[in-house]
Amino acid sequence: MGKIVSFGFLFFNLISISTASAHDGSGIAGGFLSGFMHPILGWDHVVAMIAVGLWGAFLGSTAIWILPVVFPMVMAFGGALGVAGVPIPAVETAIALSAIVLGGMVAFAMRPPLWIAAIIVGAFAIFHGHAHGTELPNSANPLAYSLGFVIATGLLHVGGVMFGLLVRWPWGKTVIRAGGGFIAIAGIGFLTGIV
Amino acid sequence: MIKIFGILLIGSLLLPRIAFAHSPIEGMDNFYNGVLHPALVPAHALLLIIFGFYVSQRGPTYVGSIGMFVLAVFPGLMVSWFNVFDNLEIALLVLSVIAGIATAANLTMPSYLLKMLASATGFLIGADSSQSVLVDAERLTFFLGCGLGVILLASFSWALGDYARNLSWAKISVRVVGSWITASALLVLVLTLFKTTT
Repeated sequence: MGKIVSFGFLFFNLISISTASAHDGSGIAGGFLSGFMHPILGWDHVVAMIAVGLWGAFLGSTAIWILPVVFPMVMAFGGALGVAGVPIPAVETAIALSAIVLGGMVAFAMRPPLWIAAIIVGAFAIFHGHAHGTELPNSANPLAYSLGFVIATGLLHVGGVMFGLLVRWPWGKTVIRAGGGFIAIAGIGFLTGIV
Repeated sequence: MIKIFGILLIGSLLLPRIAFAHSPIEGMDNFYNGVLHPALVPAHALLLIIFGFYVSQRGPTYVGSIGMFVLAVFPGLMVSWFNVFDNLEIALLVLSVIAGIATAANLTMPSYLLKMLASATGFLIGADSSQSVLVDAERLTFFLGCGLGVILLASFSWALGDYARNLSWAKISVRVVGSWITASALLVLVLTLFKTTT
């Protein structure tokens, strides 16, 4: 009797399955979600964004927020170029290089002046922005899409900053530098096509 | 038996079904729809949030600009009543970029400029809230709700920003949000302008 009830219940559930349409990719919610997932689903973007926050935290108190503020502003410029259809050569290569360079900066504990760090981060932001920007015209709601990918990018920076706060402890510095090394190696993997 | 039933119950809850997350909005009354309108239109929400943040970032001296903003909302809504403007998104995005850059860079602008920004923000958001499908009392109810919603959203962001002024990490967060809103608004502004010219 019990088995019959269970199978009856299961059968009822199976025939009542229908498509989930809460986030069907249209409208404000769909546009936001689509934009939000764009940087998160690309590992090359993810590691580079984390490296920005990590390097900012590693460089010190001012850089911890200057770099994550500079990045989205310059990324918007790169995105605008993508929207306008202005071609930038070797975008994917530059994105992979950003992981190598930014990860390498952390791994080798490089501490250039803040303005040089901002220029390095800003230069790579143009390529990341271009990659996101080319997707913008196809979005159901461009503003929601752009907000989604900017917030996702910012949250990845915050993740890197949080990780970078380990710098307060001597063992933390080693862990952070190892993390930078891992990011740089991942970048080599993206560049060579292994990953 | 109970375990199997429990597993089946959890499974049934996890199974996908049509989600009616936003369906109640269709059945809402016009006043409440008006209150939610600024929060549900991304261009309005972004501008109101960053405007509130910017005014709060400048400190109590500049709080008078909130008054200018409130006074400008209702003429904007009156303009919206007659459907004078078709689409003001570009103007709203330009204001978002200006306020976003000013917030991210922690720039102080002269008092008269801030009052102009406040007036333009209130007026343009009001003027961009037209509802051609509603008539007479329904439209009036919607506009009253919309006016309240616009003022509430700006007030909330101002209050949040004012609270953030006392916390060092929160002050930085406000500037980071400024850079995010600038980036989003700038991208869509370029997209809109590019579509218009091609």
